[in-house]
Amino acid sequence: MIIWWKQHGTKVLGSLLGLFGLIETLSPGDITSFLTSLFGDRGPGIAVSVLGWLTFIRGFINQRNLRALVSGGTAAPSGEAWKTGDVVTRDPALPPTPPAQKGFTRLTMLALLAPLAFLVGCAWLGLQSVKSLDEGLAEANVQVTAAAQATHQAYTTHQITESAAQSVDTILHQAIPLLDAARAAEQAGDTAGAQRNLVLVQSLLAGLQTYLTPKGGTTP
Amino acid sequence: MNILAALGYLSSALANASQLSAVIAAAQAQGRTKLTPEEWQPILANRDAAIATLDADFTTTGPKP
Repeated sequence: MIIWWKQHGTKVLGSLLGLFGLIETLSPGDITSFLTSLFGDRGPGIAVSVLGWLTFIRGFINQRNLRALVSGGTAAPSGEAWKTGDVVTRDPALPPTPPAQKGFTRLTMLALLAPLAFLVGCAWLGLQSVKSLDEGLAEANVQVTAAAQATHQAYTTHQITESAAQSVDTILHQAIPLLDAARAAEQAGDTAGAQRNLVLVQSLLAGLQTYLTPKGGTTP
Repeated sequence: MNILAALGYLSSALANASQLSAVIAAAQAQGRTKLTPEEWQPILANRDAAIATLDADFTTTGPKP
């Protein structure tokens, strides 16, 4: 089993990453939901990190094998300790071992895996939609609530000026009609219209978030 | 805005997001991607109440920093 893993481990890990990337590209959200159901909210991140790291480690080990091949030695059996510049020849008296993967094979595989891993990473970082429109609308409403509550608290405890609080209030009053319109459009079956309004609200909230970012502890 | 105000925002956002997360998880457990009117009602009510509270701060009787 160990020998099999040493020979085929990179293929298995790479295939899993590739499969994730393919499913996520063809059907955005499915693989993320699947991993979330298995491992919780951090599942997708943990899975991609573990797979990516193991693949990287195996590729890194292979680089040392490749250097030895280029310098005139032979490839070491997978897992054998190497030092930079080592030239290793095998003792012919030893029993034969399964052939190790050749360096260029793994390098080619890693080159092919890179864009697939990139796709999975982009999906995990939120470049695709993992929420339904309804959930996105609910989330935007909740963000408006949080902003209003926090601004009220900051204003009443004199942490921000009246003009700053009123600026936030103005932005929130712009967001609310858009949110209501988006929900009405969604209920009427106009998904595209609802999505457009939601994007507008998210832009407003993103601007608000930038405004709320501390700037050296000063009060605007 | 100073750092205490920003932290207040983050804290409030986290508390509200936790409540929403529970609602969404319950809906997903039932195989739904849409929230019911009963699930929407507290979300909208909380939002309107928070906005009304903030609006009241700027009336003549509201606090002045």
